[in-house]
Amino acid sequence: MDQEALLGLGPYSLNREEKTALYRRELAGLTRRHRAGCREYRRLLEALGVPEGGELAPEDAPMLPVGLFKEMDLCSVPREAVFKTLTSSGTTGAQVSRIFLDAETSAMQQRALYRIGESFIGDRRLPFLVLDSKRALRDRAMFSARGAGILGFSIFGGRTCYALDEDMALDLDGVRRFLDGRQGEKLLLFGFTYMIWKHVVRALEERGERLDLSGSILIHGGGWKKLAGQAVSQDEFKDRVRRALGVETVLDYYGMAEQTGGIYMECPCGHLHASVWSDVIIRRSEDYGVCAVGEPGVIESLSLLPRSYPGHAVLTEDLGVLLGEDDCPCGRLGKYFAVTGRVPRAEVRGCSDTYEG
Amino acid sequence: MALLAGTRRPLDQPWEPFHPLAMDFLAALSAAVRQGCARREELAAFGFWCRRAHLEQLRERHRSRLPRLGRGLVFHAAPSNVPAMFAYSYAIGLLAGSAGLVRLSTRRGEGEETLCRCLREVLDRPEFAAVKARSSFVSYPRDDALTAALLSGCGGRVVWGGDATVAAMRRIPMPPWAVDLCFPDRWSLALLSQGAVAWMGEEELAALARRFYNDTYLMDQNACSSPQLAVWLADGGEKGARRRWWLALAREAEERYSLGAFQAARKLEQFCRRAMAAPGVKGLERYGGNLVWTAPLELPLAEDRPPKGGFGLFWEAEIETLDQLPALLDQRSQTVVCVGADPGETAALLAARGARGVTRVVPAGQALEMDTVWDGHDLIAALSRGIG
Repeated sequence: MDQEALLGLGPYSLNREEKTALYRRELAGLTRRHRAGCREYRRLLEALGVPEGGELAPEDAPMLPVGLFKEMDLCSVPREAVFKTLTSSGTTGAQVSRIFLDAETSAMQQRALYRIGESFIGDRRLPFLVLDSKRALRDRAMFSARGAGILGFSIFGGRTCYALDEDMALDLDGVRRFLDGRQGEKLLLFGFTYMIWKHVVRALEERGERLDLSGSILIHGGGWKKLAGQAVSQDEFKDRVRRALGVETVLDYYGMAEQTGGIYMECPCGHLHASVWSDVIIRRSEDYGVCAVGEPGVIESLSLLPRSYPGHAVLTEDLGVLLGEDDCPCGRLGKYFAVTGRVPRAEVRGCSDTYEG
Repeated sequence: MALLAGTRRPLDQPWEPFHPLAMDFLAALSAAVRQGCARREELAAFGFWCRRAHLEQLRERHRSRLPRLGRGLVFHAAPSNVPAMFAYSYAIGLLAGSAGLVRLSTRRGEGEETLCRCLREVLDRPEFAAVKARSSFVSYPRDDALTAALLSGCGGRVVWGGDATVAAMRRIPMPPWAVDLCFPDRWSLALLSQGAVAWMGEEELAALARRFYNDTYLMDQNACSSPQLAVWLADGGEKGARRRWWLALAREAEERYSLGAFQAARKLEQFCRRAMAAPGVKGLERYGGNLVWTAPLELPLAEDRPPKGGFGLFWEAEIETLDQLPALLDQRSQTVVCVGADPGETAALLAARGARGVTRVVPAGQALEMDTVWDGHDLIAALSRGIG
């Protein structure tokens, strides 16, 4: 399928049968493409004895563990064609992933993100209230995931206001000035879950202040790890956001730097949805077999977007559970699921460095 | 700097090797550890190692024609993720007649805490006051100035692995007369006789797999002496014997190993990394789901980095005759674990062929066993001096 046709699909328009047929074809095509373009990936396919040509069942496409992008530079296009190298934040102190984007991949990611976002936000640009600091765009250390997220969602935004100042303090006066005369207007609010919690919700609560942004939509992502550490559940997060900001529509999304663009958005029923451009396979860690609906496992994420690096089948370090397929009450077709946490780091035995720490 | 056991300012009076009080103390520690830490296999193994009968054996083995004395105070740096390593290092220093200043990582785990508790308890007994006076177990974050200050009073240092740690430690000066024993990164392999495995009955095979499990999975296959590469000697039998072997290992792992999502991911990562970094990987077989993975490597090895598995990922190679073994070894090779092959014969062949690496050849089940001869050094001799 050519790119125009692929990106022209409705984001949630394919049922199981149609999507499987699409993925058999497209994943085989991507596998061929990266086999030809990426020497390291070709070696892996040869080691695993994956035949050239033919179709590939989605669950049979060799998956790369996400940690590998931290250890190796994996690129399927000539270096001159790389116009942006994305890095993931990863866990503190750890190495970061390096994702090599060419113009084609980057454009496809943007279009997929636009199509997915549009189906929730609408196609009109909305006043954009970023629940973060402008610094997130400037600071090289902070860029990566946060900066890229803000930039990504800015395509839905018109006039923009950053709610946090350079020191990550809530600039309530600035926000009120921005809201002046926009009473009742639909706004797009965007930020990272933990930043929203710490620097917006808690800050408003401590000052005993509230905003009335009813009718607006808040989209947040970046994971629950830090909040789970503070024992804040998803429900509590939503409740407190609604109370502090007056926003009714609070939607989480799940995504990763290794597969930018094809994000998994939360629907009003509270389920994360795979769009036609990406899919999840939940796997058992005992044998990497495929889990049934309701059975928790490790999330593998497929994406039809990566053209410049072999990231079309990635085993994440997130745990999740498939909730169903094609039958979410919200009406979207495709798989829907929940992310339940991170794969816990275990104490590893063995000889290793003694002096650090 | 936190004092975990012993005394803050250890005396450096040399003792003769295998001093009766040192022997008594270690035997008492053995009993305390075996009573107090029996639940943790690696700690229990340390307790077993310093039982009196074994100490007597060691004394016989290291009997010297010359009178010997320890080297004063010896500084020990032990890895954070081999729980009993610091205790072995200290015990060997004590047996050599040296006093011990042991630095533990601040990232030490529960195992080290348990062992320190045992040490405190035995060192505090009045009959071991003289041992306590020459023993110090401390912990502090990386601090070159502090390490240098501590080393200035030492007659030797023992640094356990990690190439980076060895390099960092070697930059820190010691008194000119002090001895330096460093144990950098090593890799180990297994030599399996296809003929012998083919002829084994199920019970014998299971018993051998149990020992091999201890060599590997017990340390997540991450110890220097845990085999990463399984070299099959095609000396008879059929190739199907290999499958039987891995299945036997998978059955053992199924009963004893807890493989979670973290371990499985590291394993997949390790496999992909090698398969992608260089050519020569010829497949991937799985036994017992994700418990045992094996992947054949073409010879000669295409990558300069030693084969690295982990969490039950074994690289495989095949040789027709034992003569082909030395070509697989380099200066970083440490232990050859024999499965069905004869350790004595193998060691003799390696010596006769002038092999570049390997300092130990052991039967299955003994890879992780600590020895007073390690990486080719006689530690008792190195941490003492002869008077000739």
